[in-house]
Amino acid sequence: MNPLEKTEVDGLRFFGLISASISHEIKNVLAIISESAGLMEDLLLLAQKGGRLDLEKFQAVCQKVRRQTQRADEIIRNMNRFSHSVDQDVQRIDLNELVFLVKALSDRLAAMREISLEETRAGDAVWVTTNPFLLARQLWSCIDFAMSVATPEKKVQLLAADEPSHGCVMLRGLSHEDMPARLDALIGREASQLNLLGATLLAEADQGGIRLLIPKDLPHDGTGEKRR
Amino acid sequence: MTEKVLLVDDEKDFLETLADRMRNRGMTVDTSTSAIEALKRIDTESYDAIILDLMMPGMDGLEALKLVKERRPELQVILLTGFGTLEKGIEAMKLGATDFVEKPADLETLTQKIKNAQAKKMILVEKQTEAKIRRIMKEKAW
Repeated sequence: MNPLEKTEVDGLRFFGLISASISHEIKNVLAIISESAGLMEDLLLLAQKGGRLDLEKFQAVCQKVRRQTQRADEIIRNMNRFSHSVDQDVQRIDLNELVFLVKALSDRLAAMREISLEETRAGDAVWVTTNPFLLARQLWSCIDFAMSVATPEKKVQLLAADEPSHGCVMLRGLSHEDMPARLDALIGREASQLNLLGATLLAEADQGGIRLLIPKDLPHDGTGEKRR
Repeated sequence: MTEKVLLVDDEKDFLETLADRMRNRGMTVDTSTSAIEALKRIDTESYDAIILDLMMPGMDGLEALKLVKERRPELQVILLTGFGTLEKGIEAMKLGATDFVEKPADLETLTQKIKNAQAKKMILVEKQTEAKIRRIMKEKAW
């Protein structure tokens, strides 16, 4: 498999991973709404048979349904934004928003590994012209790596920042011991994608983290072809 | 005979609502939001069935199933999953699960499966008791 094919296959795998995670979450929401509807039916049946309708309980169930509906709405909104990240090979985006999206999509996967993700935005928008889907995939790769070397506190912080010629995403809360060697291995595996993004991945062992530098502008058309 | 059930799922809203509905149907229900918590409970309490979510943070349902069967072989485990693939179902049965149900589960179906699990457990416990009595009689034979 040549590097470009590998990038495409990795991209498909990432799309599949996120789709599967979203579908699991939505199933959980549907299960809660279904049981809540069942409980409301149970309470009404009890009242029809002459029992007292517990209004407080009924109201609590209604609020549960509303909460879960809002939760599903947010999940689907993120899913939609993620799906649209493949619309264009090159797009001007706010790095803050992409980090927020990838963090939201990664939350459930992190929770399964008992790790919590925290996100801090840069004060102002951090504009970069890049391939949004590839960058999202690279961010996920960094988060996945960070989770594998997280400190016993099990908290990974994502910080977006604006630098003169780069947008920057820092991941903190990582252990010092294995990190540099394992990061080198990751950089090796991700070389073709990092190259396509013009991005650099660096260890910041003294800060317990890694740093992903993204150029403000892509020198090519988002598929590796030089821009005319 | 009232069924005694342990419900295990990391989604608290789901757990509380299902537990409520099962109690309305006369079952005794305890709940745990993690497999680790559930394993501590089965050390001190006796249940007819455990309803165990497959996908949970930390220890998942299949890992928990293995440990439950080691500690309490007579305990009947019904696995709950969002997506019941054939492979997962087969793996679960091989590890000793009594049944495998896809969410959202129909409560009447689940209730029937719990009754079946209770009956199965009673047979197993009877057999264990018989075997124990035979062993004692053999040792004390005079």
